Amino acid sequence: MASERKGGGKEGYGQTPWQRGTGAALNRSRCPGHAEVSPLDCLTWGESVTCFSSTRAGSSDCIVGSNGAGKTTTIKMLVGLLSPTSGKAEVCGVDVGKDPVSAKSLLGYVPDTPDVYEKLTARELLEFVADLRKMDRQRAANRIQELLALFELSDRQDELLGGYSHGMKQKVCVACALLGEPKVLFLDEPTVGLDPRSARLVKDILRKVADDGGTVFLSTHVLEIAERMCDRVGIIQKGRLIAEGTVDELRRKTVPGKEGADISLEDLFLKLTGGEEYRELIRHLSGGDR
Amino acid sequence: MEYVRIILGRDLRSLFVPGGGKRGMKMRLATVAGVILYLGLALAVGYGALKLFRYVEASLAFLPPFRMAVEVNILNGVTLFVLMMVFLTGMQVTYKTMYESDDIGFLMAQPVPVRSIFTAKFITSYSSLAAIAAAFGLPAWVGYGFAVRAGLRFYLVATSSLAMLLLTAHSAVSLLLLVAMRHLPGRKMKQLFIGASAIFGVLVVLVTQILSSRLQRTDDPSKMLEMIGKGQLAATWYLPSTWMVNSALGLIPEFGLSSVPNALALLVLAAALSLASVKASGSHFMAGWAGRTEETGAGRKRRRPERVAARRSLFPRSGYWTILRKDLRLLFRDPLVWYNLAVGVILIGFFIFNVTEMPTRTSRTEEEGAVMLGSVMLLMPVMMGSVTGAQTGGVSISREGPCFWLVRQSPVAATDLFRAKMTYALLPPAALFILSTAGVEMAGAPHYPLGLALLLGGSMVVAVASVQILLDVFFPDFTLKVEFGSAKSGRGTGKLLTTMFASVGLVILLTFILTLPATPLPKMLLPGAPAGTVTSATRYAVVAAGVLAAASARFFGVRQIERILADM
Repeated sequence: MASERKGGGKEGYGQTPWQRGTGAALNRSRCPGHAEVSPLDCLTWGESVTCFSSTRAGSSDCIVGSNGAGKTTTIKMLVGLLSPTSGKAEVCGVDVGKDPVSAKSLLGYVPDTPDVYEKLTARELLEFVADLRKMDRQRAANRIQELLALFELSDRQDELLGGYSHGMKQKVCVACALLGEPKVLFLDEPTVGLDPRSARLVKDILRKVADDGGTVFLSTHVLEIAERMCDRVGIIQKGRLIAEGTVDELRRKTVPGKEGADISLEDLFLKLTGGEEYRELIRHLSGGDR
Repeated sequence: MEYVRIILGRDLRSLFVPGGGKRGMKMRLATVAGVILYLGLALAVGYGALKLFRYVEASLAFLPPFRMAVEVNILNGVTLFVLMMVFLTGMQVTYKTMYESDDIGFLMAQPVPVRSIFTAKFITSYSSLAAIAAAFGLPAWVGYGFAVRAGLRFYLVATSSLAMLLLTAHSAVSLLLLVAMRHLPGRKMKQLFIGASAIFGVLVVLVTQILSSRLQRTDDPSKMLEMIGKGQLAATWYLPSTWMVNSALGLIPEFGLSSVPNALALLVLAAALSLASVKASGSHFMAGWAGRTEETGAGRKRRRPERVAARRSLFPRSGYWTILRKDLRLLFRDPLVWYNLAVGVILIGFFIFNVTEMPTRTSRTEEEGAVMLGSVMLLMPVMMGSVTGAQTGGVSISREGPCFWLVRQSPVAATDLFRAKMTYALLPPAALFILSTAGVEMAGAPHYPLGLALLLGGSMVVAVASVQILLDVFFPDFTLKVEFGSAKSGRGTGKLLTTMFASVGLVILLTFILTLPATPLPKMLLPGAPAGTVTSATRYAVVAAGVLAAASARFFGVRQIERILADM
């Protein structure tokens, strides 16, 4: 029996899924063989083992869910910031719980809120991260300058981060995650707080990382990002993975036939998560019945 | 007034009924503990004042003018001290309440007049300052009233005139803030306040130390009176604090002061200033609040890349060095540490000076005196260091705050993190201790032999740092945000106080162990034991405490850090 999982995600995330989860849509008793680079091999939710299909190298995958569905908690477990109540999380075949240092050296992480040391400059923060990852100093220095230039922060690299805007801090966090050239990149709502230009830049960078053979795994509740950026989408609800596959696969599985081919991801999401009743409610509130 | 009542009602409810669950219970307990602490302090100050004034009344009964001069000067001094404390902390309290409260943004978005929001926050910050005055200033007056058996009117006038004095000071500070926040950029403003408060605080410490040092070295009572008599009421007629003293003492006939004009002047000034600040808030508060986080574009001096690379190459690329270097960098950019260091150096400096210059009036044997003095010479710097450490390195895990994810998601071993934090916890107290030992050596003050002093003091510093780290690792508070002078907006105050009390308690315990040979206890417990053996045993005990504390911190601390890194 799984013990209670403390809320490790965003505020408002309850503990219940970890207690009552008795199986997800993609339950498998044991993990199947997986590719060499697989950010998520086995993850136990509640009493049963749930596996996302192994994420392949060179792919960009994401999990989509409503507020409080467990996206942040999932990512935190994968990057070693939370321990699963039972089961295990593996990155590239390395058990995050058993060998966290090795696992963490393979991954990069961008949290949902860009909390950074306000009394360090952007350059100092990136140097700090490079040293924690034991990067070669010269290589790190070059890469820091490249990333700062890429994110248009070169001119402000010697300013304290306390003076940065939310979006600029977010860009610094993405730069920190990219600095060590990780095999797997985890991003929790990466485009929140970014202006359209920066959001596009981040999306392009992530696509490039995946195209270059890296693995990108992100969480979002912006369905447009999931549809346009990700090869595979997992939909989670109340801590359970309820659907997983490419957007086309999800369409075919959820709404068979010709009708399914035209359905938007938003409609698909609402069908799967039972959100259709909200439409009725909205129609009622806006006087649609009158 | 309706809006003010609603906002204040909500604030009061959240203070005393903070919600259910463990967190709510913790907050309720903290509130109750705070009230008990304040009451205890007030009682202690009041009782002390009562004893003092009774002593003055009895010992100087045959010289009424002399007695009255002493009493006036004490009361005036206390009032001025409270006023200074209020000014010193008032800037920050008022700034934080008015411009950094979490609910201001929400309130501004509601259909509530800005003046009502300002007035509610004005009253909240005034209440915080009144609590300081109620704990330190009012009890002195009440103690005096009891000593001279004053009537009920005296207490009423003393309380209300002290309240008016506080209102005057608070309104002046609020007006100043309103104008400054409206016309100066937010960040620069904040830096200005931090700098000004720090300099003012250091100056207050310096002046009081000079005065007390001069008083300590004066044996002649008439010279002492002459010194404290320099702040006579007549010479400071223009100060509102003098009006307050005159208002209250005007009710004691023998002083021959008139109460009504002084009380009236105070009332008019307080009312005028508070009304002016409320009126000014209509045009100044919102603009100042909105601009509080304006960026000034101030950057750090850009360093040449090759110089940066050369400096970085001095440090190994290990997790230990990287985290320690980051912590030290943040530490040196924190005005709190400079303030604590300056205060510590001043206090220790004067302490050494006073000990060196003080005439010896001890009746103890030479050995007992040496033990006592040596222990006290260790106590002072270790105590100062432990207080500084309790706000810096001792709570360094908690001070990571929401940024801790950066370390947690990096490939860092728990041992490296522990060693870095332990070193960081040791550095501020060790620096103060070494500085003090060097000062003692140079001044030629009596103390333990250098090697022994370093061994004993070092053990004490290690023991204190270990306990602080253990407390922080097992009971971290990642909401803790220490800013100059206090925990920011009360966040983590309980944590800071616990660490501080535990550290100070441990220092006192270790010093007590060291001073045991100078007390009658060993003779009572171990009648036949030679004095030298007892002295050695106490010293071994202190060194053992340091070693044991360090070993425990290493053993338990690393395991707990492993847990924190993996699951939080």
